[in-house]
Amino acid sequence: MIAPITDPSVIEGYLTDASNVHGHADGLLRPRSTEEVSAIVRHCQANNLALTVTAARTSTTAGPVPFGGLLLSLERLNRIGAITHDTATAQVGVYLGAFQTEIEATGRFYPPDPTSRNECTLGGSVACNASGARTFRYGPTRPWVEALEVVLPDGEIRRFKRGDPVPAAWPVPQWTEPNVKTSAGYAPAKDAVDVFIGSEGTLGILTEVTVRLTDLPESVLGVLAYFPDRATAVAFMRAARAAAREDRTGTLSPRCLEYLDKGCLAFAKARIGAVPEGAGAAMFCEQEVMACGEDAHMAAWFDALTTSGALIDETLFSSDPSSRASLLALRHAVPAGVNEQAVRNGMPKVATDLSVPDDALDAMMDAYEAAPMRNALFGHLGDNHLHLNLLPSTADELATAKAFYVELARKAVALGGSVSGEHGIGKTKKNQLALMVDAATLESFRALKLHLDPNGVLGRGTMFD
Amino acid sequence: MKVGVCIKSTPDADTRLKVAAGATGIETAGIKWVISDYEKGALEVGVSLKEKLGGECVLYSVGSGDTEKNLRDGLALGGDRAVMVDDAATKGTDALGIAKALAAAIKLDGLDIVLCGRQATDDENSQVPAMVAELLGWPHISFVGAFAIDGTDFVASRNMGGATEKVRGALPVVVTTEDTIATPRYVKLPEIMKAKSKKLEKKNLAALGLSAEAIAPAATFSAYSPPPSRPAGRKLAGDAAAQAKELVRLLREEAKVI
Repeated sequence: MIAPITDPSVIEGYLTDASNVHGHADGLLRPRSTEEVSAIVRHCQANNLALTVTAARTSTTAGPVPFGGLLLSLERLNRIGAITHDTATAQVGVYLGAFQTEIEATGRFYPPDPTSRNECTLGGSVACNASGARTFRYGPTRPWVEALEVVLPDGEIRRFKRGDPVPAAWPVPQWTEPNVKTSAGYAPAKDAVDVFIGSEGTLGILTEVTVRLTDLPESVLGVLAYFPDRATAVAFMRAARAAAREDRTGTLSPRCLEYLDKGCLAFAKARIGAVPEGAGAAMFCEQEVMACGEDAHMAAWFDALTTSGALIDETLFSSDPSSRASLLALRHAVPAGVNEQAVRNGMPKVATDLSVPDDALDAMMDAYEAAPMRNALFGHLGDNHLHLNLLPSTADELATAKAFYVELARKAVALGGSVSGEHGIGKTKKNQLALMVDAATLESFRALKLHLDPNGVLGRGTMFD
Repeated sequence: MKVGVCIKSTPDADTRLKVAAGATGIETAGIKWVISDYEKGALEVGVSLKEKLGGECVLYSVGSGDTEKNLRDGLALGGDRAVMVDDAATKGTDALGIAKALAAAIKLDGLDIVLCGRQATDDENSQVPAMVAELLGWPHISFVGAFAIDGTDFVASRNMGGATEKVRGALPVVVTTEDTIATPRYVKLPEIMKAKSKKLEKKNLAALGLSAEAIAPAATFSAYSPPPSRPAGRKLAGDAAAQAKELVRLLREEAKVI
């Protein structure tokens, strides 16, 4: 096995993620091959040493944060392999955005787009079944994964492709996931590939991924629409979502429907000052140009926005990548402003990741509006999956924020939703997973984990205590 | 105040350019053509002047196809009308040919100011605006970072790499602008809808009093080639002292940077 790095100054850079949870590790390993990963896993099993996998640490749930044992960084498994018309293959340490850029240079498209896509790795995105704005049209990462190379917890290297049956001895949990966008708990896998997607580094270590590709849209339109209030924004979303569900290639068939509430607009205004008077909510949307052409799309969007009560004279539009990027800058000013406020407050933000069914959206948004402190609500309205960012400014408020988050999670579960739409469970949301699944289901997750990893070596503390 | 803005359609900044087969140009399939970034700033200045002083902001471009779409985009950004020189003979002409076509179209409109970006973002040629000025017999002020009208004069600040030169003069004038001169406004959806009905005149060379011979290129491109690909990295062998020695040698003898 390669020798671990024990220099604390090197290890320090790997001990936290976007959750701000800080851990500790006895050594850091940066293998260059799958075989080296396998040797490390065998060593850890033989010595009952905890082994935590870390990718680019954009996770918000402390999954890659170690609490003892060895830390395995896959950053050196960073080669892009074959890109064909139908699939693309890469090692897991490749940055997702760089991988997508290479694919798009061939005229093909891999849609999953977590906000951190230029900072996260391909492997990390598969391990947590990442989503993004385009999930509204294309779904999360899961359906796009065609094949995986995995080092199992006993060190065996296996390759699984779509349709390969789950090995008969593996007790895959059979449960009904909430009928919403979800990345919470082990999937009721239909094949061997599904077992590992979203398993957060607890069932095996991914080393190579093959993804399915689709047509690269020839052109994408961007729309930033302002609304007087939440109700008109939601009304527009419902109209656009219904149209997209009815006709995926129609004149109104958005690929994303992203929401910014009035708290977000305050942050945007403070940073860039370009928010119109009278705006109480906004939506950033994208439309791939279909056969009907740009003019037909623009007319349909104009009509739908006008009908729903948008501030139509303030609606911004882009038809090329550069100007779409400038609209995105408006949208990205919000999380940047939220994070700056958290730094000023000297307290971490508390950000939710709850998703609910269509008919529960209004009730969930009512619950968000009862937040007991300054906050900003944004995210994937088309998927009924919003992130409420609570901004406590004292230790007492932080405790209040955490308790409020649990209340919200209970509410989402009661409404038929998921405690995690996209971030996973990690080490920070185990209590919420227990709100969503019953004891028998949780036990079935544990049974699969113990079958593959009896000593609980991989991802110790993630998903289970 | 009658302001003209010359607009060139260039590949979107995100485009990965490839040399076409036969090295006769770039591969144009799949390219999204947009208003050149420098001219977005010029357009913002032109529209702002018109909004402040009244009058008209007219857009000019030479080309076909996407050129019309980009002129419509310019109209959505505040232009009042557009003139598009659309003639097959303009394809393959050079900077002087383009300048002759633009100058002829501008002459017909009797403008006070013509604004252009300091260079196009594709060929970075920088020749056309000065040629237009010469053909019109107007002064040309280049690299302008700030521009205003003061009575019947213009006042321009030229960027001179660390220093600024202020220029005052009488109109008319041709001005080439830095991209920092103004932040282009966002395009609003209702303005796009309105732009569809704004006047966009297409004129061929004959309508401008020109002929194909008059704009025949004095120089033609003989070949295109991509920049050389980056050589693979080199791994030095030996112990640290040997590697350091070899690195110094390479930096001195091959890279010639020390």
